[in-house]
Amino acid sequence: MPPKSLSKFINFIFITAFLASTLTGCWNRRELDTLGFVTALGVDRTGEDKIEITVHIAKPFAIARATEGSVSPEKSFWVVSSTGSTAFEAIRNLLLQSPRRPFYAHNRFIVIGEECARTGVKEILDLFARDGEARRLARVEVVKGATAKDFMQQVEFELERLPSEGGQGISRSVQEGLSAEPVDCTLNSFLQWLETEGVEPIAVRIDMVPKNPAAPSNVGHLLREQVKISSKHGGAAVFKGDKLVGWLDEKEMRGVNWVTGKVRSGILVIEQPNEKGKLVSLEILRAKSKLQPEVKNGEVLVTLRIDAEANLGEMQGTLDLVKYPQAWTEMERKMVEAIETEVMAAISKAKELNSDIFGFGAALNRRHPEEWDSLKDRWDLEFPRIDVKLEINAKLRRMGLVTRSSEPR
Amino acid sequence: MEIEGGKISGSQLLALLVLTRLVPVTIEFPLVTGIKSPQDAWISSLVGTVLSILPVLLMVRLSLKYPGKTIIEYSQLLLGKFFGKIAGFVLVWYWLSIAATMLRSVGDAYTTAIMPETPILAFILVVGFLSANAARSGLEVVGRLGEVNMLVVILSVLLTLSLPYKVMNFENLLPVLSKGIRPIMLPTGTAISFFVEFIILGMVAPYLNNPQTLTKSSLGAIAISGFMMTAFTVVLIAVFGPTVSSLMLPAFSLARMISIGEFLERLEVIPMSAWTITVAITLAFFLWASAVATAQLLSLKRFQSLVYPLAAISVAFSILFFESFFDLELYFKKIWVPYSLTVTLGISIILYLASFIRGRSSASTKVTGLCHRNH
Amino acid sequence: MGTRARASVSPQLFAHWFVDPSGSSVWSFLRVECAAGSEPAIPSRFSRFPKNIGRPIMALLCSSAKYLMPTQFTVNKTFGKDDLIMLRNLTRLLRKNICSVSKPSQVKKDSVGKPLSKKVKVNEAFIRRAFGNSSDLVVRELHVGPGGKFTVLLVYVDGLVDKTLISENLIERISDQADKSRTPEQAYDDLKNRIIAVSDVKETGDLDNFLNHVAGGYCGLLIDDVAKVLVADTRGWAQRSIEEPTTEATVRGGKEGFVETLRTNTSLLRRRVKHPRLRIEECEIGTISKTSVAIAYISGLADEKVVQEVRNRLARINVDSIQESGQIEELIEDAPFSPFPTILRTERPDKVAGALFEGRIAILTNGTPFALIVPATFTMFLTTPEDYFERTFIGSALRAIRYLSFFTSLTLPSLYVAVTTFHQEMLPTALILNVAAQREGVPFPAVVEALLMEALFEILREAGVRLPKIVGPAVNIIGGLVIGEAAMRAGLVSPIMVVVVATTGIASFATPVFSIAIGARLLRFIMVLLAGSLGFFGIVAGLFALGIHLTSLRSFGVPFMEPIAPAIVSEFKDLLARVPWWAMHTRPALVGHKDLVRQGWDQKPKPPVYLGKDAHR
Repeated sequence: MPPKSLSKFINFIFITAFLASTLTGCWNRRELDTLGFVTALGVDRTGEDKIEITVHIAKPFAIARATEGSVSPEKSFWVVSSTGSTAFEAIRNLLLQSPRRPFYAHNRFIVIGEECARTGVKEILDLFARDGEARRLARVEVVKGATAKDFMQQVEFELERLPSEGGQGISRSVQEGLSAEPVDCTLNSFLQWLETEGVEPIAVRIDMVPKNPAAPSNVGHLLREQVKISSKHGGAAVFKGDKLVGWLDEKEMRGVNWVTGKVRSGILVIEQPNEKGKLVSLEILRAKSKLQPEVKNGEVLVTLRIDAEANLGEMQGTLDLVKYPQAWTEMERKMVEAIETEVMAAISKAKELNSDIFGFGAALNRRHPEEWDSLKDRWDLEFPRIDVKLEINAKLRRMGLVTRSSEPR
Repeated sequence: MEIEGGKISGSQLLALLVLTRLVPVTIEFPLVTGIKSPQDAWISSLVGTVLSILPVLLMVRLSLKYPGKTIIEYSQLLLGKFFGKIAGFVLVWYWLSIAATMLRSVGDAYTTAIMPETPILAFILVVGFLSANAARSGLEVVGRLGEVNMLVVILSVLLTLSLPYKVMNFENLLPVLSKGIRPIMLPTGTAISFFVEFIILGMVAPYLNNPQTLTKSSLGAIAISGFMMTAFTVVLIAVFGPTVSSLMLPAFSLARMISIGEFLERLEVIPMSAWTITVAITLAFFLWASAVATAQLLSLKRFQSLVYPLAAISVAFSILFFESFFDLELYFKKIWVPYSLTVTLGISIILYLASFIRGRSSASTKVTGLCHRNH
Repeated sequence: MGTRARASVSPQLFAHWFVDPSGSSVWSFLRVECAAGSEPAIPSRFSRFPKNIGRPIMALLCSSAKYLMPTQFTVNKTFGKDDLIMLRNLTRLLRKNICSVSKPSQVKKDSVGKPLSKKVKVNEAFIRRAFGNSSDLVVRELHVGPGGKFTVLLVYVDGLVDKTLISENLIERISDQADKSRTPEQAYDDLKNRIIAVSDVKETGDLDNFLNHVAGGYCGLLIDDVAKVLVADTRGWAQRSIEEPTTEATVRGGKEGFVETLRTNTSLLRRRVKHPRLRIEECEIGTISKTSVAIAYISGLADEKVVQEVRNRLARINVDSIQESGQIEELIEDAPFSPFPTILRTERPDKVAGALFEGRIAILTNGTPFALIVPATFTMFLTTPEDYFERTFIGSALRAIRYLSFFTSLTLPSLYVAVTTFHQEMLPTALILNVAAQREGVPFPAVVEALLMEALFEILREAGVRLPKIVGPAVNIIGGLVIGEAAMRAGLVSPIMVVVVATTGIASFATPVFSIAIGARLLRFIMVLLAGSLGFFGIVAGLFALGIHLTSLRSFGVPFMEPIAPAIVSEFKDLLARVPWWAMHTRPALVGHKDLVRQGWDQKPKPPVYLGKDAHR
C-alpha cells in the first residue's frame, strides 16, 4: 500500500496549484476599487418606449476624506443616468459613462417616477427579483408628480451625506414614529402583493419638498451647495395590479395601517373633554387588528376589530385627572372616534380607487376559500360595496410625569 | 478479506443520512413542489415523510436479515449471480446519477446566485475531487466528517430558517388544501422519491459497529430530515407567499431576506457553505458506496482504486447530462420521481419477495427466525 | 514462494543519490546484505543491470549460502545516465519487491568482540586510542596492595564526573584501605564490595561496554592482572536549574519546567506520581550519540498494547544521533506529511503527569526539556494545564477563546480577501464604503496585499524570535509600528489589512502549543490563495479538505479528532467547556479504557447546613 499521507500531501499540492492557477482568471473577482456602489436607483420611462435608469453611486474617497477631518467640498455621491430598451440594458449602458462597474448589492431604493408607475412596473421589477446582485429587501417608492430622474438629481438631505441614508432614516422614523408609511414596503412584499389573490400592492410615496435657498438656516454643516430639494416620505402610492392608480396621504395611510394592524406609534389629536377648543395629544403605544370577513346573503361583510393602547402625551388646557376621573373614559371614547375617522377615510379612499390594498379579498380566501372562488372574478365590483363593521377598543394607559398641566396664576 | 476495514457508529450513520437529505430538501424539492398550490407544499412534505417510513423499514429489514452482507452480496445470493449482478449495477448507476445531479445542483446554485462568471466546472471539479479523497479514506473518515459537519449544517439551517423572522407571515399558509389533494400528489411522490435514496443503507449496514442501531438511525434520519423539510417549506411560504413558486433557489433567497439591525445582512454564504459541505459529504458517501459495490461486483480486493474513476464519471455525467439549470429542473419534474421510485422500490421489493420465497423453500428457519427476533 | 531474500542498500547510496544525481560521482558504497535461505526468484529485470553491478548482485541473491556475512562491494566507476536509471530501478526493486530490513552502517569499532586484556598497560593504550587522545580523558594510576604491588587505573571523562566524589570516595579510600589485599583478584573484590563508596557499581568484562560507560560519566577502574573492570556511577555535571518553562507560561500552576537532564526530569515526574505503578523504561537511541530516552507511563492505566507500540517504534529508530525530542517525534509519528503534529510536546511536568493519569504515555529525552506525549489528540493542543487549575467557568471561557483564536488565525485573512473581492454584499453599506475608501489607491489586489502583509508579519516574527533579547523588542517596535504605519502612509496596504494581519498574528500566539500554531499559520497562506480564487467556496473547500485530513489522522491508534469525530458524548465534558472536577468522573474513553473511572462518584462539595456553635441563629 502506498503511504496514504504522502498521496494526500500530493493531492493537497495539486489542488492548491489548481486553485492558484485560477487566480489569474478574472471570473468573479471584483476588487473594491473597480466597483461603484449604487445606493439608490430611479426608473423612468422616456419616449420611444425606452427605460431610463438614474443611479446614485457613492464616492468612497469623498466620504473618507470627510471623515479624516478636512471637510470635503466634494459631493459624496455621483448621479448618472442612462437609457435602454429594457431595464437591464439601461443598467449595462451605465458602463459607457462610469469608470467603475456599478454594483447593486447595496442598493436600498428602487424609486419609480409617477408616469412610469402609472404605465406599469412589472417589466421593471422583474430584473431586480431575478438578478443575483440586487436585494429583494430594497424599498419600492414612487415620486409624486415628478420623474425619478428629477428626484434623484436634486434630492439631498442636510443630516446625511448620502441621500439613500437620508431616505432610509426618514422612512424608519416615519414608520416607527408616525405609522404613516407602508411598513416593510420592500420589493419582496410588493411582488407578493402583486401575486396574491385579493390584495393590491402599495408603495411608499415621496414628495419633493423645495427648500428656500435664501434662508440662511438651510446652510448645512457640510460646505457644499445648499440643499435645494429635499424629500418627504409618507403616505402611499396605491396600485391596481402593477399600475399606479392614486395616492394616500399620511393620515389615510395610517388608516390602512390600523386595518392591517401595523400601527407602531403615532399621535392622535382629540378635543379636550372639558374645554372647548383645547386639544389633547395621545401617543399610540401599540395596536393590533383582526379581520373577519364573511359573506351574508351574497354581501361581503368585514368585521374589523382594532385594539389600541395610548398614553396621554400632551394637554393644551388644564384638567386635573385626579379630580375628574370620568374625563379618562371620555378621552378613550374620543380616541375611538379618532381612529374610526382615520380608518373610514382610508377605506373610502381605497373604495374610490377601487383597489383592495387592505387584502380583504385575501382574508376572505383564507377563511372561506369556496366563497372567494365564486367572488374573485367580480371582486372589482364587490370591493366598493363591502360593508365594514368596526369594533374599536381603545385604552389609555398612563398620563406621563404630571397629573395636571401647570396653571397660570 | 474485507474490502472496507472501518466501522461507523449509529450516530455517524444518522449524521450521514441527514446530511444526504439537505441538498434534495433545500434545492431539489422546492424545484418540484412549486408547481400548483404552493401553500400546500408543506403538507406534501409531511405526508411524504411519513409515507417513506414504510419503504425505508423494508430496506432496513432486508439488511438485518443478512447481517454482515451488503445489498450487492445478498442480492446475488437471492436472485442468483446474473440477476443479482444486474441489480447491483443498476444500484451503482442510480447512486452515480444521484451524485451527478447533486454536483450539478450545487454548481448551478453557485453559478446562478453568487458567481455567474465562474465556469461551473470549477465548482464541480473541486467538490468532486474533495469527496473522492474523502471516499478513498474509507467509510470511517466519511462518517466522522458527517458527524463533525452535521452540527455546523444543522446550525446554519436553523439560522437560515429563523433569522428572517421579520418578514414571515404565517397567514400565507392559509387556506389549507383549497385545491384539493390532486396538486399535492406529485410533491408527495417527490418527497418519497428523495427518501428512498436510503437504499444506500444496504451498503452501510454491515459496517455498523452495532447493527441494532440501523433501524433507530434510519428512522431518526427520516424524522430529522422530514422535520427539516417541512419547517423549510413552511418558512418559505411564510416569507415568500405565492411568489415561492417563482423562485429558483428558495433557500438562497431566504438567506438573502435576513436583515438584522442593518449589519447582519445578506447571509447567503451560510446556506452556500452548508450546501458545499453537505454535497461534498453526500458525494463522498455515494462514491464510497458505488466504489465498494463495484469492487464487490467485480470481485476486486480494494475499492480505493475505483473511487477516482467513479468520481470522474459522476463529474462527467453532471456536465454532460444537463446543459442548463433548466434541464435540471426538467429532470426533477419529469424523470426523477418515477426513476427513483422504480429503481429503489423495485429492487427492494423484489429482494424482499425473493428472500421470503427462499426462506420458505429452503426452510432455513434459522435466518428468518433470527430476523424475527431482531425486530 | 520460498524464503524471501533480505537485502538492503546502505543509506549512503541513497544519500549520494539525492546529493548528486548528475551521475558523475563515484559510488563508493553499495552494500547488499543477503541472508537468504533458499533461492529467491530473480526478476528478469536484473538482466538489465550493467555487468559489473548486476553480476555480483545476482550472484549474491542466487547464492544458496545459509548465512552470508555482510559483504561489501566497492564499485569504482563513473556512472552515466543509463546506469543511474538502472541503479534507481535496482533500489526501488530492493525496496519494494524484497522485504528490506534496512541496517545503517555501524560506526567502525575496533573493540567489537574484543575482550579485556589482563595487562593494564595494554588496556590503557587501547582506551587512549579509542578516545583518540581526547583532552578530557583522565587516566589516573594508583598503586595498591602490599607495597603497592598492583596497579589500579582510574579512567573517567573530565566534566562528566563529580570530582569530589572521585577524590573522596574513590581515590582517598582506595589509597587508605586497599593495602591489605594479597592478590589482584582479592584487591578487585575488596574494591568492589567494600572500598568503593559509590552507590552504583557495575562489573563488566567487555571493553566496548566499558568505554560507553566511561563516555557516559562513569568512572572505570581497572586492575592489573584482572580481566574484569568496575564502573562506578560518578556522574555529575553542570546543569541548568529547574526554572519556569519559557514556552508554556501559566498564571496558575506549578512553575517547574523540565530541564535538559533526563534523571532530573524523571524525578520531577516521580515527585508528582508517587506510586510504584509509574514505570520509567529507559533505552538508548542514536548509534553515536547514545541519547538516553525514557518511556514513562502508569501501569494499569496505560494500554499495554500502546506501550508496546511505543517501544516498537522507538526500537525501530536507527539513526546516528538524537539531539532533541523533535527528531524522535519525526521518526515515530503517524502522519509524517501532515501540517499538524500528532504528538504533543511539552516542557511542563504537570502537563505530562496529567497526561499519564489519563492513561497516556510520555517519552522523555536526555538533552532537551521537551517531553513527548502520545497518543495526542487535536483538543490537547488547544489545552493548557491552567484550564484545569482555574475554576471551571474561567477554564472553559479561556478554552473557548483559544478555539476561537485558532480558527481566527487560520481563516481571518482569507475571510477578508473573500469578502472584499467576492462578496462585497455581505458587509453593511457603511462598512464596505469605509473599506473601499481605505483601499482607494492601493495598487495591489486584495490577495496580493494579504499575502504580502502576512509574509511581512512572518518575517518580523521570525526575526523577533532569533534576535538577542535586548534588541528584540526594538525590532518588533520598528517592524510592527514603523513599517506598518509607513506602508499604510505610502499607500502600499490599507489600514484594515494591517488590522487583519495584526489580529491574525495575535490570535496565532494564543494557541498554547507552538507547533500546531505554525501549522495553522502555514495553512493560512493556502487559505488566502483559495479565497482569492474562489471566494467563500474556496474557503469552505479548504476547510473541508482540512477536515478530511484531520479526521483521517490517528495518533498511536487513537483518532486525532477524537471527542469531536468520532463523537464521544462522554468526552464532551472536556471539550469546549471543562466540567468541574467533581463531575470529571472518567478518563478519556479511548485512552484510559483500562481503568475508566478515575474518581469517586460523589465528589460534589456539599457544605453542611449547620456548622459551629451559632448554627441555630
